[in-house]
Order: sequence, then structure tokens, then C-alpha cells
Amino acid sequence: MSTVNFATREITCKIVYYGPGLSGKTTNLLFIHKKIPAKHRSDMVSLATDGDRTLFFDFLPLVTHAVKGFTTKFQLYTVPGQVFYNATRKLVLQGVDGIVFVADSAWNRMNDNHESFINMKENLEDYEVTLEEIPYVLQFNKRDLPDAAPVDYMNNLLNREKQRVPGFESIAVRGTGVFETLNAISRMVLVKLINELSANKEN
Amino acid sequence: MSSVKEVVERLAQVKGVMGSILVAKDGLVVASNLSVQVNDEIVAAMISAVGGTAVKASEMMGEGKLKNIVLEGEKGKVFLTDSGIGYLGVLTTPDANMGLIRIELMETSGTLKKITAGAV
Amino acid sequence: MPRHRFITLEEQKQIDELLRELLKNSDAKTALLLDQGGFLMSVQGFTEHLDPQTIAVLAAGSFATTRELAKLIGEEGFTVMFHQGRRDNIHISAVGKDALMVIIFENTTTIGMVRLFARDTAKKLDAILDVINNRKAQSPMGNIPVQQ
Repeated sequence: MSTVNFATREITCKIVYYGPGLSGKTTNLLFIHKKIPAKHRSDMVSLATDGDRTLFFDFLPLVTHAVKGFTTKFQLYTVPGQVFYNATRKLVLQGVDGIVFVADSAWNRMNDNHESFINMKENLEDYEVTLEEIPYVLQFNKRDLPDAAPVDYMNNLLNREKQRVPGFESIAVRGTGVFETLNAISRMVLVKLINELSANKEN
Repeated sequence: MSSVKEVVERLAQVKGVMGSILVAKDGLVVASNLSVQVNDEIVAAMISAVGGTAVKASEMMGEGKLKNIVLEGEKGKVFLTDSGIGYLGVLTTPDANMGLIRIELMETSGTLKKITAGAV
Repeated sequence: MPRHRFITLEEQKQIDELLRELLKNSDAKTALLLDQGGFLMSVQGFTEHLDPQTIAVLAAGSFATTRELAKLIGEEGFTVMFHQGRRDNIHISAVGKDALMVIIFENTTTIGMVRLFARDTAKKLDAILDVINNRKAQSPMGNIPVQQ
């Protein structure tokens, strides 16, 4: 759910990095955080309980004139590590506007990728949201692994919804593909927001 | 308008009063002006315990809504009333003027209700 | 839950004003309103050396944790959470179904006082949030100028 505040003239959208444990979600966020100039972002916050962590920070994208007179702000969230409680994973999806599903390219993680994807769909359903309604992209991470599964195969495994979505190859530890993914999802979220806002206009 | 704190504290300035306290029904101190010899939290807990029991007793014995409680001890008295937002209590010297204190309690109680209108 | 939440100038003013009134009445230091996801809607009072956005996210996170704790003992959810420090204290309470209020106060006031006024403020805030959250996708200001 994006928030349009007419007092602060800010539009805030929430993007969540989802995926199996150790697939590189936190690495994505850390890299983005490092590369965005401090004046355009907040500090990285970690919500830590013993086993579960939720990482969060928000940033203002450089292009802020998508909606005239408003600043667009993205809040990036992820649940890093191998999260024990589904409740934590579900919580971060609350009010989400766009998702990056980070899949691990290692052959032996394909089951985990698939399970996590199904789990994400189920958790979204609890918020009465389907993947058709919400912009999302796939990121095939760790492409530098010697045993990386072919992208076609991973697409077959994860990109099977009615609407095929963009997939990005990445090596998040080196930053390869990280911003391509982020740019794509933020653009998708903004386009959807703008379409919906202008649809209201005609009503 | 004065704040809850000011109103409760002012009560302690009445002749014969050694301290005043406003305690939520569950025993949490809202505001107090007690001397250092007594522990706020113990007084608060006791006041809510006595207040709660007395309110119930008064109702069950057919006396209706409780107006005042007076505890008379060797070294002083404790006056209690239900102010709506919690129990309002004052600790006094043994020779304090009971009539005066009752009136002050009632008035303070009314002021508190006005300040916190809607807050309960 | 609506897809987009629109907060008008007037609503933001009312929310800010309610929080300021709460601070005045309870003698607390800082007050924040946020949704349960940690989205900050207002912060009033003393904010120097404070990072309100981080406080909001952390408060929402710990509140969510207590919800799980509540479930374990067969309770639907807790409505108030209180952390006592040496000098500063934090009172977190639910506002309606999907918002939270965080109040930071020093030992110059009491938890009883904070709770007394927090309850009243929460009721009033909930009424405003109800309007915001039940607003159809329609923008309240008429048109938002959109650049395709």
C-alpha cells in the first residue's frame, strides 16, 4: 500500500526482497545502501530477535518527478537469514507495493527456491493480495557459482504465473545486477501507481 | 486549565494534608505529591486495593455508589474518593479537619473530571 | 485494506495536533503515530538526537513480536507495551486495528498519566485513521498531476 501524503507531499512505496535463506537478499540491500549517497537514504535498520532479523531502510530515488510536486520514497525491506518463524516473513509483506524474489542459482537450492516462492504466494493470500495484482521481478543470484542452474530452467521453475515477469541475473556480492533489478521493480511500482492515480483522475 | 499533576499537587497544600496521590484503578500512579518517607508505589497499590474492595462492598451491601473512605490510624488518616479517572487519596495528620478535607476532595475530583473529560 | 492511502493536509494537521495535545496533557517528551508495518505518519515533540523513522520501524517490529507471544498464551493480542529505562521510558499502544502510537517520556511524569491520556488520544486518532483507511482509491484532492 503506497501512502500519498498531501501535507508532506510525499509518496511512499514499500518494496520487499523475498526468497529462501542465504540467497542474497541482505547482500542486495547492503550493496544498494552502500552505493546510494547518504543524503538520499536513511540508515540501515535491523530488527533483530535472536534468530530472525528484518532489515529495513528507505531511500529517495534520484528521479523524483514521476508525480509532479511529490517526492517518491521507497522503503526497502527484507527478512535475512534462514528465518524460523513464518510470522516474521509474513509481517514484512504487510502493505507491500513491489517484490524482488531473490533465487539462489545453486542446483541444490532449487527446492528451497520453489518452496519459498509458494510460501510467498500463501503469505500474500493472507493479505488478500495475488501475484497478478502486485508488481514483482525475479533475480537469479549467484550466477558465478560453478554449478549454477541454467536461467531457462530457473525461469521454468519460478516464472510460471499467467503473467511472465522480468528475470535478472546477478552476483549480488559484487553488485552485478543489483541496480538493474532495483531499477526494474521501482519502475514497475511507479508505473502501476501512476496508472492507478491517473485512472482516478478520469473517474 | 491546570494539568492533572498540578491539581493533585495542590491538594497537598490544604491544611493538615501531608500528601496527595491519584491512582488508576489498577494501581498505577497517575500523579502524586507524597513526602519522602512513604513509597509512592506501595501507597498506590494499597489505595487501589482498598478502593476496589470498598467500592464492591458498598454496592453489595446495598449502600450504592461509594463516595468516601476514611482510614483512621494512630499516626494519621487516609481519605479516599473515586474521582472517575482513578482513586484520589490524601494522607493527613491525626487532627486534620475532616469536613474541610472532604470538600477539597470532592472539588478536586470534579476538576479532574473536567480536565480529563473523554479521557476515561 | 485500500491499495493507496491518501492523507490530506487537514487530516495530517488533526493528527499532529492530537499528538501535541497528548504531550501537553501527559507531560511526555515525544509522540509518534505509525502503522503496524512501521510507516511513520506523524512525530511531535522533542526529536533532537532521535531518529523517528527507525524508532517507528523498531516499535512496529517489537509490537508484532508481542502479538506472537500473545497467541502462545491464547490471547488475541496485547494493546499496550511498556519499556522502562533509567530515565527514559517508552509506551507503545495500539490505535485501532492497524496503527500504533509510541510515546517517549522521562521520569518527570508517570506511566499512569501517559496511559490515561494515551487511551483518549488513541480513540480520537482511530476515528481519523478510519476515514483515511476507508477512503476509496479516489484522491481526496481531486487530481494528482501525473507525468506519464
